[in-house]
This record gives sequence, C-alpha cells and structure tokens, in this order.
Amino acid sequence: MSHIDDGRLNALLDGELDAVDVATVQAHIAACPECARRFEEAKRFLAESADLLGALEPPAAAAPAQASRRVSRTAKEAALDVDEATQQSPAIRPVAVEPLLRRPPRPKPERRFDPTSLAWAAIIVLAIGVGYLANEVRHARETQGPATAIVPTAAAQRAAGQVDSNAGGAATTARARDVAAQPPAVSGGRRGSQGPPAAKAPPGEGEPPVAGRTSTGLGHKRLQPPGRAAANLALQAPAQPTKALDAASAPGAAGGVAAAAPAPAAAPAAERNAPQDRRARPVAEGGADSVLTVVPREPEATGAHAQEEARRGAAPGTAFRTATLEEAVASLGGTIRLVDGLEIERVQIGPGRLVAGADSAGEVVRVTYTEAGRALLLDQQRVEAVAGAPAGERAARAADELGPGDTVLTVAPDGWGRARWLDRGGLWLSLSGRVPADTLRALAERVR
Amino acid sequence: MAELYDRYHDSLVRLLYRRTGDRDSAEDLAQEVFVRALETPPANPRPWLFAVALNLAREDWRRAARRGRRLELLKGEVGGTTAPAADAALESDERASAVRAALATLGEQDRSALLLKAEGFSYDEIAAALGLAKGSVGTTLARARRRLVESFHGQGRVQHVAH
Repeated sequence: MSHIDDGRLNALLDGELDAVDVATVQAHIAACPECARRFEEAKRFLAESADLLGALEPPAAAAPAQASRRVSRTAKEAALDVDEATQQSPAIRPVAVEPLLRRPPRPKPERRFDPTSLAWAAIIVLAIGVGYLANEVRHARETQGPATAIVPTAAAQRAAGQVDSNAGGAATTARARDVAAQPPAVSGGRRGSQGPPAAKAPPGEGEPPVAGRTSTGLGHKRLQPPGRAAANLALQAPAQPTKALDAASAPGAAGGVAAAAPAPAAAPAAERNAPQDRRARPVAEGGADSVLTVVPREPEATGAHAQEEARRGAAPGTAFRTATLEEAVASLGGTIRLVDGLEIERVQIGPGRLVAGADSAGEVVRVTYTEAGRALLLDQQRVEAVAGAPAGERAARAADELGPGDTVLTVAPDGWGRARWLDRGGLWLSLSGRVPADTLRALAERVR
Repeated sequence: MAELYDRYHDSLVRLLYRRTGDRDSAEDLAQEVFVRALETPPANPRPWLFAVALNLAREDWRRAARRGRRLELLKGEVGGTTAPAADAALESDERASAVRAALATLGEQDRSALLLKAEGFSYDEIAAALGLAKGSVGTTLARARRRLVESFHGQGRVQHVAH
C-alpha cells in the first residue's frame, strides 16, 4: 500500500478533496501509522503557519489607520470618478470600441489649494524682499553712514534691528545677503538632509517616488502617505514668514528651516515640532549648510512614544502578561537569568509560540531592559520542563539544534539581532534587540 | 469597480503588506492593481487582482533593490531611532521580524501560494493565479507551510560561536 503524499494530506486539511477521495485518504490514515503521523504533522504545520502569518497584519495604529483610510478613500473616489466620466461601469464597458475610447478618459487634473507651495512662494517672495531691503540698507550705509537706514516695513524693521544692534556694517550686510540667499539653499539643503527616507520627499517636487508607478492620471489625486505628509508639515510649518524670520535672526541659528521629521511621526507630532524651531540647533556654520538645522530629538521621541501608546491601545491584548520576579522564577523552575549590570524594566510571562525558536508548548519568561535607548529582550524557557509535555517534541528538537555551550547569533534582514543559547542549567535563552551583533554578544556574556 | 474595491482592497493590502513588509508600499501597489483593473477589466477578477498584485510586489522589490532604497530603509530601521517601544509594539515587531525573515526563505511560488491561501483562495484560484496545475497546489502548500514553520523555529543558523 503506497503512502498518501503531503499534497493530498494538505488537500484533505484544506477541504479540497472530493467525497470519495476524503473517504479513501481517511481510511488509509486510519490504517497506516506513518501517514497518520505525517497527517498530524501537516495539521501542525498548517495551524502554525497560519498563526505565523497572522503576525504580519498591517499595522492598525490609530493615526496611520486614519491616514491610510484617507488614502483608500481617495483611490476609491478616483475609481468612481472614472466611472462617472464614462457614464458607465468599466465592468460592463464594451471591449470592441475605437482605440481612442478604449481607455477611460483621464480625469482632469484638479487644481487643489496647496498650502505647501503657497508657503514656499511666500518665503521666496519674503526672502527676495528682505534681500532687496538689505541691499538698500547696505547702500544707505555706504552712502550715508550706519545710522540712517530707512526700513519701510515691519519685516524690514526686524532686519534693520539686527543691523543696528550689530553695528558692523559689512558683516551685517553679508548676513542679510545670507538671508536673501536662503530659498535656493533651502531646497538644496532639504535634499541633502539627514532625515529618514520619508522626510526626504520635498514638498515642492510633486509626488513621492512610488507614485511614478501609476501610469494613468490617477496619480495626481493621491494623498501622500502619513509619513510623508507629516514630513511635509514639519517642513511647511516654519515657512510662515514671521517664524522664518525669527529663526533666521535668532542668535546661533543661521537658518530658518527645520529639516527633520521622523518617518513615523504623525501629523500632530510634526505640528508639535514646529514651535521647536526657535530651539533648533545648527548642523554646521557658514555656507549653504548653515540653513540646515535639526530639530532636537525629544519631540520625535515623544511623538513615536505617543504613537506606540496609541498602537498599544488599538492592539488587542497580547499574550504576554506582566509578572513579578517570583512568578518568573517559579515558571522557570526556581531560577532566572538576568543581564548583569542592567536594570530590569519589566518582567513578563507569555506563551512560547510568541517567540521564535522557543518551544510553543511551554511558557517563556521575558525580561525587558533598555540599553542605550534601545529595548533589549531576554527571553528564557526551561527546556527540561517542557520536554515532558505532550508537544515536547519541538523542545527536544530545539535542544538538538542548540548544543549546550553553543551560542547562535543572528541578525534578521531588518536589523533585529538575536543571540540564542542553552545554558547548563537547562534554560533556553534568547537575547534580542535592535543592536549590532558584537554588542549583543557582549551582553549575552553578561547574562548570569 | 467600486464593488471590487470594497470586496478586495483590504485583502490585497494585507497580502501586499505581508509580501513587502511596508504599509505604504502595500497601499500604493494595491492602488495600482485597481488602476490596471480599470484599464483592463478582468473576466475573473479575484485571481487576476491577486496575481497582478504579486507580480507588482516582485517588480517593486527588484526595482527597490536596484535603487538601493531597500538598503536605505533597512539602515533607517537598524539605526534604532525610535524611543523604547511599548510592550505590544515591541513584541509584534520582534515576532513579525522573525516571521518575515522566515517567509523570505521560501521560494517565490511557495510564498505566493501561502499568501493567497491565507486570503481564502481555493486550490483552483491559486492554480489560476500562479499558473500551476491544480494537482500541485497541495504539494506546494505543504512544502511552503513546513518551510515557514521550520525556518521560523530554527531561524538563521548563521554562525556558531563558542560561548
């Protein structure tokens, strides 16, 4: 009697066999221990792979969800616009039509009010004006002396105030020229800014790079994804005339544009960043770089943290629960491993299925630390205890793969590093975090 | 088209997110799938939409790799620029990272079959979307499931060092 292949076993599990085949395969499984074993294995792989894929749900964070909702609606609106334009559903549109009519007419580009470009236009006009006035001041100084500068507008009065307070004719003139020279330098600076990829999308340059894929007139209707929108807000905010001038004239700050906004920063975070411009610190003094400033880190961290909080609120409860050290020690059979010299942030207990490499049937104790601002997870599980459990086969396999005294160091493609080892006390340990392999290894050696 | 959109958009985005690991890319690619569906209304929409989505994701990956954008994205992540994450986010981050790494070890066809099955595709639909014989879908899925689970648990035995 030949065995049932894995494909048919999976087809049975997926409900893809017809009634006759189901009866045949089931009868065989009942009579053949080998196929029964493989059937159980196939069941386990099916359940576990579905569980694993479940971990890859698109982030349902509160703010991004709202933003993506907007993006989604836009796509739908665009699709419906086309329908309206053709006065018929594309699904029932006749195929044999003249070539010119085969494609639905592109929706006319909408002229939407774009505050970003308006703000940039404003700053350019303002900068030209200030430059002109500065030139006038210089001219006046050259011809009439330092005390006779005439400044007709409020904006120019600020410039003049600076001129007067500095009392150095030539130096202030050069400074005023720097202000006038800002707009071109600003756009160059933004391109070279150190921000994350999303922050690099210059608002004045139209669509983000991915939009190039869209081959129809749909592209112009798309909203920017949340990260980019936030970046634009951050860039746009200081473009308000008074703020730009304030920043330009603030001591120590040579330019007025804050070119920082982390990709995940939500719009509110970006708005919070705006008032930080006055505290912006220069990246470099002098030259075109001098207009590039970086907003201090704190607001980003706050924004990211708020977002994490929102995500935590939105996420259904995770299987890890906070535990006391005593509970953790009890779970591990009377012992626990800790990273020597680091302060414990929290202790939790959760099911092994949540941790790669751990035995799914057992409990895992997770001790969380923060090292150099990055979270570090020390997961541990008693291997001996679960080896006797019904599904202990996997624990045994884990123990086989990891010989006592071995450490497996891995760095996932996305930078998540992990060191795993079995210690001589019968514990399976995993130390992980977004830290380089060397650091991880050094920290692993401090686990006692 | 609106009906297709309502019915398949979320599912497409989920599949594309699992494939690309990037929410924005997933949204963008899903939009492009619908744009193409507008240009060429498919007779059998579901397999067509998802097959196009998987092709676009593959092209996008190649293109991104060529431009080095992927490298840049990874660099950004490795830099650890965020504050210490809250528990839930951290756990899901860590687990998702491991699952994604495991998924990356699968062959293109196995991965696609698995992702389509996760979206509720029948063997017939998977066969239609991937150009497979229906009879080989079970074998493909069996291999993909086993590989994903084993790869997750025995992940990345890159280097052994004495402890």
